[in-house]
Amino acid sequence: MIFNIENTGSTVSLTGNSSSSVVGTILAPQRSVNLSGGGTLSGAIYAATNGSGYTLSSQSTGYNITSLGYIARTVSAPEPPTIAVFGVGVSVLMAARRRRSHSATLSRAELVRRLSLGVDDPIY
Amino acid sequence: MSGHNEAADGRDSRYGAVSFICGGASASPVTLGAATSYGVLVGPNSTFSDTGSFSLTGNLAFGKSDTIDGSGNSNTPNEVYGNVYEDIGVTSDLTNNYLTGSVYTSYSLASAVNAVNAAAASATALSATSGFATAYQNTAISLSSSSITLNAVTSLSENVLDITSLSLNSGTLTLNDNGISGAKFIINVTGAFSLTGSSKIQVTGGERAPT
Repeated sequence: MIFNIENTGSTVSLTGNSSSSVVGTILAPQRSVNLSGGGTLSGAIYAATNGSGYTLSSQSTGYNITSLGYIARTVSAPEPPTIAVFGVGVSVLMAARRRRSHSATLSRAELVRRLSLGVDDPIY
Repeated sequence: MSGHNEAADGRDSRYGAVSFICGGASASPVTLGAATSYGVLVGPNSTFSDTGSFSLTGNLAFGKSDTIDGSGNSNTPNEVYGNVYEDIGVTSDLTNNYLTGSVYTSYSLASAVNAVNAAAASATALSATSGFATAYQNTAISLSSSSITLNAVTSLSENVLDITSLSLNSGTLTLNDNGISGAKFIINVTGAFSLTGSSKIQVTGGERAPT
């Protein structure tokens, strides 16, 4: 979970008591941040990355932060080689299916005739 | 220590691993890149004032020309279970700090700073997710000793909520994955962000907390 605090503006304030808890990452590129009260954050704080003169302050009973590591969503998109391999696979499957279908249409007599003639591939 | 260019525990390798397992290219609308190595990052030309009992499990990073007043309190020293990274020009006072790792000076944090700014811009550019927290889109959320639960509607992309402000006074905001495995949330806030009292922001249903 990401909290993206946009633009400039008021100080981001996490000043709850020791029972206060937050899960998530806080992005505050153009904000100051004030931490106090002894609460906990399971995530991270990235502040004052776009601009200057901001303050990240931790006062009196401070804050407890545990960084867990953000796992970004990954949307899988097939690459060209993957598509090519997939295409070859589909072709092979279609050929096999056609082959089975064709063999099913041959009469038993015709199959025996082809075998007797020594045809290499009597199905085709 | 000085002159290092990479964080000791850079976590970007996870992205590569995920991409490899999926066997395809990955496209992430919002990624934190190099910033994920840090639990707290203060951008350049700013101040870190830590006069209380601050505790961080993770790495602490300061951009160019930052001023660090980490004098803390001798009775309740600050605790950093990780490393401290300082870019060039940082004025540092880490008196009364308990540090398990090392202090790296003249350490370039440009890539991490840029990654945060890019992630913020990407998040801002996302459209609100149709059907997600409809009643709260483009409004102010203010909870005083009350709670709301927002249920995810998609796993195909982040569940995006745009609000004008978030104010919790002993309130609880719950993000629930709603049975959608891997659901993610992005909350864009244009105004105030304030938590007081015993306020909580929590996730239920298994969504992993990003940092």
